[in-house]
Amino acid sequence: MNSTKPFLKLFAQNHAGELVPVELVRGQPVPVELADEREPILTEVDRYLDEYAGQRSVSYTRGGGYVLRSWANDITEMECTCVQEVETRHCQAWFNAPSPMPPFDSIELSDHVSQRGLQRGYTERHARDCIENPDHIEKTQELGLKGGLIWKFRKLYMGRTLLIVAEVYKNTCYAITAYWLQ
Amino acid sequence: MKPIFANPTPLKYSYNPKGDVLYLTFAKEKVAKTFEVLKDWPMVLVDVNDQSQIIGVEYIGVKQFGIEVFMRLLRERVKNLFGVELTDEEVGSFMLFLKTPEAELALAS
Repeated sequence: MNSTKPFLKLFAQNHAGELVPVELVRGQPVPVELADEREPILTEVDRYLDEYAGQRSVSYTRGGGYVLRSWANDITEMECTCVQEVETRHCQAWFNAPSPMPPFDSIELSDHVSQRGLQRGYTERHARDCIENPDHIEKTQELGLKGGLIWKFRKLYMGRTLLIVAEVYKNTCYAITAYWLQ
Repeated sequence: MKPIFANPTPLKYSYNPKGDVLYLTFAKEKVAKTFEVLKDWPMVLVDVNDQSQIIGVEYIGVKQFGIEVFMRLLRERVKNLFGVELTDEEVGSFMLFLKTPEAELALAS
């Protein structure tokens, strides 16, 4: 992937001590691949916490920095372009919004998922729909066999929640198993 | 008291290499409930029938974590969840089943 779309507008001091977008400091746009590189974001969060120390609730200052760091990980999902835009309104909108449909190139259901469906009482249509239009996605840090991250998709059907465990690798969603939550 | 497993030994096993999933079938029945006996990683799920007998055990992460980890986790969690301790014979029978040439071949591929 060679996209150079900036994923986050970061600010840093240049040689003259002025705050300028970090991509200009670096002299090139921040590539999408750098989304995994959290250090610039965390640095920016720290700078923000320092700047607003004493002006905000204690839960938003250094002691609560982990909250902002967590938000920073999801900053693009909140459609914020910089940390300063991460505030209550954006967070509420983000939490209340339905999960966006993951842009998977394809969804692969294994034989195991199909076979378990016969016993557990879900269909392949359920499984695909749960992945394509989930109520909630939990993105874990666990790695699957292919090296992709394990995601858990949840969706409510007739009072029961179907959970799909899948590995997401190179824009393909490989469903590993599925079951109804109790 | 009803036996915890629908059968003393698995009727069959299946291994899905794409998801690294092992499934032990103790009875071919409809699942009434699925318990997440270990919902982190590795994952262990237990399917029970409407008589609360275990009819299937699913283990995700066989190659990553190994069979011994699975057996230990299953033993611990079944005791916590169902209040029944698996006997050495039961655990041994699972191990024997998984040590068959067919199972080893599937896991090695």
